[in-house]
Amino acid sequence: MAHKDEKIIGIIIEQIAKVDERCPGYREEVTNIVAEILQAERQNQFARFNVVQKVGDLVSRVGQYYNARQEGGK
Amino acid sequence: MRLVRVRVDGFRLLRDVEIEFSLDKAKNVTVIRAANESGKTTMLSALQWGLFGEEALPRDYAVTPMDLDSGAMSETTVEIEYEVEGKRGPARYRLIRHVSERVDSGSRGRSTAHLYELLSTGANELTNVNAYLAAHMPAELREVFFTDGDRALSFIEGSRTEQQKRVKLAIEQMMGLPMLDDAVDHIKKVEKEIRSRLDGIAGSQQLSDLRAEIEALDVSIPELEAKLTDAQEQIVNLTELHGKADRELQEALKRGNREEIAADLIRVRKAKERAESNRRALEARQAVLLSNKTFAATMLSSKLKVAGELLEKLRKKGQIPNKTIPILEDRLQHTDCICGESLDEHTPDGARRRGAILALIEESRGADALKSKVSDLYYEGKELFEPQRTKWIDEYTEAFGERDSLDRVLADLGEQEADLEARLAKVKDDDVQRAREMRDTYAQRLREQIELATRHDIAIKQRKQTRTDKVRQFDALSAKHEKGQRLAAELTVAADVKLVIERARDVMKTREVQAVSNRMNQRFLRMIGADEAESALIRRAEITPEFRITVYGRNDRQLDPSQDLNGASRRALTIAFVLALTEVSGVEAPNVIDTPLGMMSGYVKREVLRIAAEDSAQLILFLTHSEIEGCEDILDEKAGKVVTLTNPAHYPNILKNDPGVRDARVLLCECDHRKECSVCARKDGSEMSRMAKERLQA
Amino acid sequence: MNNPFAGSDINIPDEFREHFDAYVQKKDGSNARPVNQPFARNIDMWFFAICLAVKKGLARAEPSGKTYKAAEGVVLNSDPWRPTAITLLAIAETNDIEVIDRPGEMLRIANSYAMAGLPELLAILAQRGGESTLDFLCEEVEGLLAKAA
Repeated sequence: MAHKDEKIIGIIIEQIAKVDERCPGYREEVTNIVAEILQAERQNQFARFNVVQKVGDLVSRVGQYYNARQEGGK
Repeated sequence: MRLVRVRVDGFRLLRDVEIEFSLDKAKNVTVIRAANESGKTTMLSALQWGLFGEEALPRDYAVTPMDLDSGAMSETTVEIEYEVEGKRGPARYRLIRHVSERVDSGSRGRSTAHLYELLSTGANELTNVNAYLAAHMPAELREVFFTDGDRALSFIEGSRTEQQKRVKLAIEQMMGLPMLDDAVDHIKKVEKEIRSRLDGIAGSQQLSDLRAEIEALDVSIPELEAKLTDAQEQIVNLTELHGKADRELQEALKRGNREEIAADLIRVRKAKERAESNRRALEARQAVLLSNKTFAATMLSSKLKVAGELLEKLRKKGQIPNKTIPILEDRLQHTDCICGESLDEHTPDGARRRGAILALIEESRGADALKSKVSDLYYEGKELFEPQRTKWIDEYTEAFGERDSLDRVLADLGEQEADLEARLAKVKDDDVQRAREMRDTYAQRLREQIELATRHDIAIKQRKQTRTDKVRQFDALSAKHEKGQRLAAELTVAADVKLVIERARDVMKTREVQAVSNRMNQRFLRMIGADEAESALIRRAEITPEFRITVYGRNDRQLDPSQDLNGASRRALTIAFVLALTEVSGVEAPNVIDTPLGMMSGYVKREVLRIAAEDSAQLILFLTHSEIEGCEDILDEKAGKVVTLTNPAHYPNILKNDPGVRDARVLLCECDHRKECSVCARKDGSEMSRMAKERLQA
Repeated sequence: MNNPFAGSDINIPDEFREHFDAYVQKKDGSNARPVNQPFARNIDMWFFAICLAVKKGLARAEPSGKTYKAAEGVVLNSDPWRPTAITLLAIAETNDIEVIDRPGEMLRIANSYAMAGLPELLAILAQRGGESTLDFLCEEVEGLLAKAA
């Protein structure tokens, strides 16, 4: 790949560290989907597909994870 | 990505030309040596066309060979082999781009590209060519990696807003920022979609209203941000124009106020007139010196002395003064003489004495006419034959000195007059007025834009704050429902992810740009450090947060690259920028540069070459013979591959030997920077200029 | 002392007329600049010639050829010391005090010095090159006086 993802990933990880750990494992999940979102964006550049849907799915996945742990806490 | 090999056929002057590039990491430079008009620029274009297609060429650029007849069919092919670092080591690809065209048909054919993956088992054709190419060598990066010395200067020359745009675009493309912008956009869409689902579930008007408001803000905030950017660009532009207008005003003021100068001129002319008339008076005064008494007395002194002595003798004899008559006459009024004797006429002695006195008087009267004259002469002449009170020479010195002083005053006044006349000629009546109006106009417009920008800025901040509040309200409301809770959780995740990516983007923009700026500065200073004159003037170069490449001199004075840097430094700066950007972005791609070292002196040239070789993953240079001169040892060390392109049409003016080729095509030989062969051998400079002279005289 | 020369004329050879015109300030010429025409009147130039001849010890000469009236003796009134000087000159020349009663002879003597001095003056001026008449003459005079000192 022409672009070096490491650079962006590095900075992303820096920024994720500032996100609240809303529940155990939250940050790790966010890290994963951010990486996947970027990969989807990359792919979308030369093979167009419904990337919004993909992003939505990823967000939904972590949303459920979070919600479950949140409820559990209540 | 690294270039391995290129073969060009039927592309203008290039017919069946194949070049291999150096893949040696230690000797990462490939040199294509060619004189001007020998196919350098053509090869650069061919490479770009091969990788990027028609969009990489100027609009009217024809790829067909030059010597085909109108109407003939031409076949143009560019084959590029390259390798890309993958997870399992380098992967090799072959790209073949081809177009068939009718010469002078007016329309350019659309080329086709085939891409093959080269495996140990053979070549495997890939179907999604554009996808792969976009990944291997994105078109947005073309202008950074393919550098034509002149075009690259647009990063630092031309209108400021254009420069800014180009630099910003280059940086954003290299950092992959557009992709992050897209990601943020898509997340916003997801947020919108989640909220609408929430809307459906909750069924509350309040919720749906809030959602509408949030969406409206999501539209208006980017709009305002765009307007703010526009206003900021205007501010940059107007600041520059205002600065220029102000400088012109200062110049006009310096040249001066027409009225004042005219008044001064009148004053000086009057003084000159007075001095002129004084001069005439002094001349007259000096002239008189040749006719005055002092002069005559001095010049005639020898004779006057003689006469004076004669008169003096007479005086001593008592014959001057002869003023006896009045005394004698006076005595006759009395009855006695001075000596006491009687003068009474009634006495015989008295009468006798009276008679004697009368006789004396008579005698005196006779001689008196002469003696009177002589006596007058003595007294009047004394002024002449006695030493003069003032010496003629002193009178002359004084008169001459005064004339001299006055001459100097006149000369000075003459100069003043000439100077004022010249200044008056230069000043046009309305200079100052006009310049002031210009400046004030720009000042006004600048103020307006600044106000506008401030208003937008405040509005944006307010709306962002409003949005945050609304979102909070929305989340609070929706959390009341169970499904709402889940969707609320999704919204939270979306917001977190969006924030992470936005922040990462901002960091890229500021920190990474700062890194590029520092690196560029380091490189640039090293390059010109070799030129002491330039490096004395220039202290640093940087990329401002507004994406402008600026250069600073001593005392932090901002310099204008297009005016304050020489040609060599300008090129060095753009090369330093490209190298810095490549390095910081971490993108691996070849740097292909056409005549980077033109206009550079020996030392700067060497530094630029050395630094470029160090920083680049793969450096491919198109160099003329004179660019190479003085750098042969560096190329010995760093050039893994050198070839030479020769244009046969340069015989007999530049080439020694007749290449024996009649059609219009460039010849390739394997000669490196230290060799020449029968094809590429050139006449030496003196012979070339002799032939040029002969041609002129013919 | 009265001007004994009041009734006489000062006649000089015609050949000098153009030179007098050249170096004497014309009444009508507003362009007359003292630098170029240092002598206000003919009499001044005539008298200068006398001074020059005496200073340089030139031999006296008689006027020859056709003459014209360059000045009238009466103009000597304007500088009373001049008649005195001419008289003294004549006395020195003849060593005879009674020459004072012979104004014709005194004037003749003075004129003969003028005749010697005028050619000398013109010869000097011919060498002045680019310098102005006034300055060149003054320099010559300065030189003459310096030698004596």
